[in-house]
Amino acid sequence: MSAKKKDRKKLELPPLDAEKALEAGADELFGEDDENQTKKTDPVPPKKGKPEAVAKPPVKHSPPPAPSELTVEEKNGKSGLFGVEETIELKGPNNVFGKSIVTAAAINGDGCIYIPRSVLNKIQRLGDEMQVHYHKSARDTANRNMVVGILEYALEDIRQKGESSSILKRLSEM
Amino acid sequence: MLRRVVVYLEKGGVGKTMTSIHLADGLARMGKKVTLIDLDPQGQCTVRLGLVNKEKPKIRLSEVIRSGWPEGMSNKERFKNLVMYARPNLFLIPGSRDLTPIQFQLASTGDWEGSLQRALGFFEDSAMDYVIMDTNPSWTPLSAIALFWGTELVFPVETSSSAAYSISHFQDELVKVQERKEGELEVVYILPTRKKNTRESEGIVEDLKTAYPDKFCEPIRERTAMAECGGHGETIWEYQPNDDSAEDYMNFVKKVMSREVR
Ligand SMILES: Nc1ncnc2c1ncn2[C@@H]1O[C@H](COP(=O)(O)OP(=O)(O)O)[C@@H](O)[C@H]1O
Ligand SMILES: [Mg+2]
Repeated sequence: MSAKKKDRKKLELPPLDAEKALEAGADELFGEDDENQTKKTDPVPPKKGKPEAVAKPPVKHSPPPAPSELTVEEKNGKSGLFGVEETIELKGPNNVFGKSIVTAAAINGDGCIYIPRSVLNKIQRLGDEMQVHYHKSARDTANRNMVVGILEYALEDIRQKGESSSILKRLSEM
Repeated sequence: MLRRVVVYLEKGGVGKTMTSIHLADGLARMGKKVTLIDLDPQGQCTVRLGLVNKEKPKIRLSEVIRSGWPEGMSNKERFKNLVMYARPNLFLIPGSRDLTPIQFQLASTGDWEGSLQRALGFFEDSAMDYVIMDTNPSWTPLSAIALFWGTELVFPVETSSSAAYSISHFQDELVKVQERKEGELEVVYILPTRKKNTRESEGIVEDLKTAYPDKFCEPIRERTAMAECGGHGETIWEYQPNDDSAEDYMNFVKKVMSREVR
């Protein structure tokens, strides 16, 4: 990295008052007064799609609970995945997480992914929006992507299987 | 007229999110009004645009898809509640993991075609010029609803991996999507991404150009600045505006704009 790039002043983007900018944008897009615009667009009647024309989603399951009911956080009584002592092992198809993890994580023959504690520690909180604390380097971007991907997988497993999720069990044992 | 562009390929790491962000912000920089819709539950667009710590919209796209709009809410109110400001002229509907469970609802009702039209059709009554949809890397109900609503499709074809794989995989994808859309897709852009200075990478680009002369777009080069900019929450035009990949993406933006009907 060149010295010039390192010293580069960060632009503050977007401008601090995002709310005003949104307001102005909405005025510009929808007019200052939009009282009469509601429902101008005719809703398309719900149509039965062509389920056979598209592949089925990858997993079978009963309807998922509302997202707020199940997060690792609530089930585990902990904030996110903090406090993990050992590396944990989550099974999942490699391609779910994209290519970046291949370089960032050790993957064994049967598709298990081992997440080092140092990577897990970068998760600052698993809240309403998944928010990840990370350092600014390409290497850490890959780690972050991996962590987010793995958490997505874990959460989905928990959502689908509820109490019987093996991932949930492992988490609560930690 | 609102143009609806989907960036799609059933494979991760090919540059979908990179392309979605740069197409959206590039159009916005050219003065177009643009909304970027992140249909990937991982929410990478929020991260890479540096908006993680910004206030999130009050209403989530998943809620609207699930239950429709609250009675009597005006279009402007809908918009203000659904999007966040990202850059001048650019708004974002962030992706978040609540998009995952609605896939199950969509899957069980099979009602995919009208889904985004009902949720976002009101954009057509605004001065919005473009919506750009970033999708998750698999054929799921989320990518399906994007492909059904979209009228233009960008295929980012990764050129840094094996040539044979990239091209045959991409060709399968194109056929699959066209079958599913029953010929409705008006415009398809084939955008070679992550082009290296290797004979193999150049070979893939040449093959694509020969096979799809009308859909082919000039490639995006693989550059360190590109790989880094998202981690800084910046687009390439903010992070390294002089990098040649910045020029590559701007050329693509101009190509998309050249299809505008005046
Ligand atoms: N032109 C490029 N040069 C260098 N790195 C790139 C380029 N395009 C994408 N990348 C990197 O490749 C990875 C995958 O890109 P991404 O846009 O996330 O793909 P997808 O959304 O298809 O999974 C990211 O880490 C990104 O930074
Ligand atoms: Mg992506």
